[in-house]
Amino acid sequence: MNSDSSSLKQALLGLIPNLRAFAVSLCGDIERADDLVQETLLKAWDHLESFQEGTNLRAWLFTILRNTYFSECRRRRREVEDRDGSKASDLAVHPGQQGHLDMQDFRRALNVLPPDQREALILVGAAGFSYEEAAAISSCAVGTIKSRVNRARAKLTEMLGVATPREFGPDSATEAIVARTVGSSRQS
Amino acid sequence: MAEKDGSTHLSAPAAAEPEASQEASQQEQRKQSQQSMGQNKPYLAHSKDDREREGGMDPPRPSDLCGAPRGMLDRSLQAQLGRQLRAIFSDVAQEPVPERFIKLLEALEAREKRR
Repeated sequence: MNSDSSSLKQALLGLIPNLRAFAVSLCGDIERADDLVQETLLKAWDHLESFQEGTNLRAWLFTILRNTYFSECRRRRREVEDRDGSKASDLAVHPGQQGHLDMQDFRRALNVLPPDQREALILVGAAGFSYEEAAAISSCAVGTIKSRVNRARAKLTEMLGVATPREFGPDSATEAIVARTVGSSRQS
Repeated sequence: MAEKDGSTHLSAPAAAEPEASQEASQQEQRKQSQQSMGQNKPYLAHSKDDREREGGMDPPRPSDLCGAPRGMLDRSLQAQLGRQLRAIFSDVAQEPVPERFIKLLEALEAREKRR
């Protein structure tokens, strides 16, 4: 068991950055995210027997984390809905002050999405899972994941679109966008 | 799926990304050349142009961005969206593992060894 627990420890350590990134994107709050990660690690350690050897450990951990998150959400549903409502109105009042959605605005926009859509978008669009893997993690049909991702993208695009006309405006905004476009195409 | 235009693109975000960002940079180039042509215009004239592009009251000039198909604008937005989404994720994913988790795993391992 000793060598097992040591290799499990190493594997978990290596996946913590990914788990934290997933948790933050899901709940939008680093402290809550780290609590989710801690709970996930504890559950994974104690239920290792339910992990099927040879399957994707990362996907298994993501599954535990999202299940933990959503059961917590169900407990706090009322509170969460209130918060999302106020965030939505904030966004409507202040669409991208710099002529585009900056990171803070984008995070806020992400948090306005229904949690299931947000989750699907993060799994597929940021964490790099396939639709099939994302469906397994969220225990729903592949078609459901696809439709959640599409709805999430449409809604975010709408929010980004609100800020877009200003992108065609004067120099500072344009320069920022050119810099961003050039910078990102260099990356890819 | 009865989504807006561009939904086929939406279903394959990773694959379509390079194409979209290329188009985005083409748009930027066009914008730049437009801007350099209109350099003598005061600030206000720019924003009036912007409104015209939005409202589409005047027939669009060939060089005008208004002439770009709606789908192209959507794709550049999609590209931006994808970048920001991945940035939010990778910002955190690149942080070092916090001390609390290292200690937690060491404690779990130690507990295992005592068994």
